Amino acid sequence: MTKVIVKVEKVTKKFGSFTAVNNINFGILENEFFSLLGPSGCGKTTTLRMISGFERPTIGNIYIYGELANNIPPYKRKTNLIFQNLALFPIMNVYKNIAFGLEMQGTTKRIIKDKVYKYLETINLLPVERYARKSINMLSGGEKQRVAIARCLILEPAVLLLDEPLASLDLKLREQMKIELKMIQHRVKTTFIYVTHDQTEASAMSNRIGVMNKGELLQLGTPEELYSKPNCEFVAKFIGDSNKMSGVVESIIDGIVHYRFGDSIFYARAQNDIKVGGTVNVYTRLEDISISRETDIVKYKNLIEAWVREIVFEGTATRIICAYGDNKRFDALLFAKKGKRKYKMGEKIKLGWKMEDAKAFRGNGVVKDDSF
Amino acid sequence: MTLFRGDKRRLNTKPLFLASPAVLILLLLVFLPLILLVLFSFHPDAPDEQHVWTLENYKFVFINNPLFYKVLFQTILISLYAVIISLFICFPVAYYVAKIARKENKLTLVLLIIAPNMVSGFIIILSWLLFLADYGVLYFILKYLGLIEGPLHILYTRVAVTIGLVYSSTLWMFIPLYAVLESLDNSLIEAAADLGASNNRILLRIIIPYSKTAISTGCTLTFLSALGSYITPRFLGGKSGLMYVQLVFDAFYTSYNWNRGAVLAIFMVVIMAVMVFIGLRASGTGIKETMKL
Repeated sequence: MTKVIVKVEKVTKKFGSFTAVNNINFGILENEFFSLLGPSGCGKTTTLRMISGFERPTIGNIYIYGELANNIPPYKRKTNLIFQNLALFPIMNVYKNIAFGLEMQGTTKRIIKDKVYKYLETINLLPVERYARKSINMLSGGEKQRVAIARCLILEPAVLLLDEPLASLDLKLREQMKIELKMIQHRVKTTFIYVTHDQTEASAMSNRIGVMNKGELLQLGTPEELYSKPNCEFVAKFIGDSNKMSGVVESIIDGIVHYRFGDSIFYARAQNDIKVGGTVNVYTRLEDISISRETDIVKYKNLIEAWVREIVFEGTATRIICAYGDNKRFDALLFAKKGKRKYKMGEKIKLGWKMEDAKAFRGNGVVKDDSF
Repeated sequence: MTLFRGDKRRLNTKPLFLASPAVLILLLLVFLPLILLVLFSFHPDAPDEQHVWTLENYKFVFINNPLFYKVLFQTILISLYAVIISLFICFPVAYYVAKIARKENKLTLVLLIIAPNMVSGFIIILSWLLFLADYGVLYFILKYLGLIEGPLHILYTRVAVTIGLVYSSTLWMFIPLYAVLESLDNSLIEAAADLGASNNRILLRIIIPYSKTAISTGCTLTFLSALGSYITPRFLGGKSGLMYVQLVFDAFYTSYNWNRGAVLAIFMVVIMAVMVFIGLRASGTGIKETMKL
């Protein structure tokens, strides 16, 4: 059984009358890459700042290595934080920035030098002698990123906290740093807690993800679990790309919801407590939708007739944006080989999907779909 | 002429024409008087000997005049006191306003600090006279608190001059410090704390190095304003708080010896230039960066 390094126990944080974090519980395991995922203002950064010691929980406790950390100031904690804007010291060069933490601990100059050079190698800034002397302003975005990581890692923290460190990078660099971060984590074998609003980032890097919204921790699990078994509507909507469809529940048989949309009945797997006569919101992944102009998809229980509204080429797949009913939107992905475009704009087509792939959540009584 | 580097548009006016008012003012009101001063300093006092060139004035000021060195030393000392005290008062205040005070209160606080500088300097001095007098306001306060028995002996001493100079130089020290601390990103302070720096270390390793330029700018400006002050030492200093500008003033208006006054004035310009140079070197930046503040 792996050790729990950070334990967040019934933590609530209030700023005045505003509750930023509401009664959250989770534990982070040794050497884990853990992500807190959620839209901006969901309390993920506040949670991170409580773990690093910059904020104190209003209620609840935070344990680091089993020790109650509520009253330990940031500079005494075995956690290090990489700030969203990196917060590198502009008055110092790369070497001084990375050495700062060790200097504060009173490490001797020789050991500091060896370690700084070692970590410059770890983060792949070569040749190290040249980079060590560079001033911060001379570095590119990705290089700054690495220096910020090295500056924290050199202290060998129990936990490295990262507050959306990739947000300011351009797409290409972000993709590259994602992989780089994961490799660095494997190399240094440290626990990472990563905060982000980007679900692809979180899925790509994390062992486990905690999804937060409005101060609550909604679901905790591996990226695969969150993707295939969302426990609430928010997670279903937030992770991955889905079509949303709403309807009125006719009956529920063996966990399969029969719901009415227009004149037809559709089927979906009930995910939470759904009542007959109420509304449901049903989410279906784009890749689970079959698209055809023939009638060969009759085998699917759920079937709608639609027409092609837009065709968007996305590289690995082509997204067919369809319209059905009174201009409701429904997307499908087409993994066409050799980029062959089978469909034309305005063409009448059929969309079908399995009832196991459709996830039904209790609605709030209002039938509202994604429409144009 | 372009509005910024790399600007491809061109204005049709000649740069010299646009700059001419400023250049003229500088030439007429700054450089011409300075040149005249230099000329004065090499001529004897007697009106009928104006064509004679002499070093008598310099000899008199620098060799035959013990008061000159005494006052010069005292002026520099008082100015240094003013700079140091002003720095130690203004830095915490600027830090508080820039970093700790709530956003909506900042403007009020800055205005409160700047406001006294909008009052006539003379009125401020009169207030200080009333405040510091032997049986003045301060005397009554201290007596009420039971701290003193007899009259105060602050007015007409170096102490009074220093207090007055610190007061009148607040703005020169506060504004650069406030500006630089305002620009200091809070996350730098937090990052230093996160990396294990205690509050003292953060102050010494992050905040002060970051504000180095502003500190030297503030100190230079305060020192220059103290060095060149006349009203404050004239009214608060009396005989024992004599400062350099009073010597210049006395040479020009009391003994009516413009030639010796010129020597004193030139020497002061030289001291000030040296001070600016030292201030720039201390900040570790060139003149360009300093001008930005």
